[in-house]
Amino acid sequence: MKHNDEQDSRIEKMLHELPQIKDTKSKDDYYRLITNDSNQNSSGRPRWLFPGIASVIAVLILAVVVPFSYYSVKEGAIDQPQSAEQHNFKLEKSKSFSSGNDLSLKTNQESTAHELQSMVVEDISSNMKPLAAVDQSVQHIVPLTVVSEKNEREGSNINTEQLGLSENILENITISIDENEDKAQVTFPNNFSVSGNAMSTSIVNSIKWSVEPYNVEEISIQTEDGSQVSLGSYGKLSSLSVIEEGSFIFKVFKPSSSDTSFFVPVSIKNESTISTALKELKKDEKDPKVDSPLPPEVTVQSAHEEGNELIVELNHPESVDKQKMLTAIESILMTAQHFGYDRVEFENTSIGKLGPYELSKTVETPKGLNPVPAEE
Amino acid sequence: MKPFFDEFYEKYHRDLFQFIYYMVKNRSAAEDLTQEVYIKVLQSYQSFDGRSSEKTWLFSIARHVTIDYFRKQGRKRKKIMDFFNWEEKGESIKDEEALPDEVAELNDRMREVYEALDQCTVDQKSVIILRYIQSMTIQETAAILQFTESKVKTTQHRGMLALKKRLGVKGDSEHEA
Repeated sequence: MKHNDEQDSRIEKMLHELPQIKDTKSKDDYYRLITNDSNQNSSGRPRWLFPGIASVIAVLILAVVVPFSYYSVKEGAIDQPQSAEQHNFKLEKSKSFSSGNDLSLKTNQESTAHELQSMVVEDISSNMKPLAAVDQSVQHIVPLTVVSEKNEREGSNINTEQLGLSENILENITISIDENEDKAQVTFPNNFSVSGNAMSTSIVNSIKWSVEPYNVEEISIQTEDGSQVSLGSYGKLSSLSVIEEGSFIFKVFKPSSSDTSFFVPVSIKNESTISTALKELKKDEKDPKVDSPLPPEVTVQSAHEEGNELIVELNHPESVDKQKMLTAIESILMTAQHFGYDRVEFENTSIGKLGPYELSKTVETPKGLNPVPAEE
Repeated sequence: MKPFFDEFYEKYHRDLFQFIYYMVKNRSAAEDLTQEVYIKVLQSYQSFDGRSSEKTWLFSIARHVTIDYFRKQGRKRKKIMDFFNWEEKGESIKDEEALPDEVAELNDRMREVYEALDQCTVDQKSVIILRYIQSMTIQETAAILQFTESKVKTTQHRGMLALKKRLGVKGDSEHEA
């Protein structure tokens, strides 16, 4: 830690010593320019006049043209904007759960064929507890958000084996979060021991993904009596690094013994941009096996940022299965969130409403992955 | 209006221009945006309710003006890209302005730090500039950016990681005990 603090201090010092950049305009120049601008704007026609007239004309044209456009889409395919209202999904953003469990998505009776499985949560609310498990072959970390029907976070347990995952490897480990200090404190039993690199790596990564939604800056680890923790090949540790922003994308893992699919983080090369990360989403992985969340019909054409917002241009996908489209959209949203974006705007989708998302508008990026119901 | 402008200019101009310059890294754009900030300030000073400090209010306007600038630049680039169909290079096209003399005269390592700022997101860059180039407190930074103090700390941490990565400085290690 001391080494890192020194590096930070060196960089902070250099930032502080960056030079003052000279301004070529004088105070009088600025005053003259701003008064000229104010005078121009206060004379003549109002600024809103032309845009206003143009908007009225555009609305009139749409009012004439839109009723005559009709898209016929095959059963189960995505809705075009005109038909978005017909299905009336009752999926709520903050109450979305994986299918195949008691709290699966509810749709109205006419649209039961369209039950959708959302694999993210909009925000970590007080009845949710992030956790991470591993698959049965100990190859994937599966971040989860355990959702309790009671309004409580603590005591929310799950049976990971019922989800087709390995037993909960963090079962005897206590994680507490100090949100004011942005710290996670992880306490291991005094007699804790672990054998094998795979298991120690899984424990370390499960802890990191369990605290990731809280945006902590430090993860301290110790045993109940305050000693360092012996973690196999890692040696004795008192802290862990946090997950680095922009280092993972999210693909689909389906355990062989379960119908539920999960987003799992897949590491990408350092220095990847969001554009390359989104292109990587298109690839299936063989070893260990994970599927691309983007179906063949969906391609990301380009991506660029505007402030905290990511603009993602798709390829006008049509006739895509709704569930596949929802998974594709959520994988893009989650990857964008991991790269630090707060919102995503989708261009060239022609899709109006899809599950909880209104894709013709800017969509907030989610904060949690793979909602699963707590055992009450 | 002149006395009011004089007072604002004397009190804040230097910091305001530095903030905008380091955000956009283009002197001429920074001057235009600074001018835009003054116009907005003079237009809306009557409605300034005093709930935040004058400085916080001014820098909030500056931040919004720079974000609008990035948004417009993004759209402009997108149009150019669409025209030439250069799909891959969307994020790598930058305004190729020569380094200002003040930066060109720096040693290599300092120039690298200057250039590494481009690796940060807009939020990270805003926090790093306010905290380290302009020496503002976490509270002041949070007020300007309308973040919680906790978000300022997290964004600052991630910004520093982005800088370290670009500068080739080895990051945190699991093996620290």
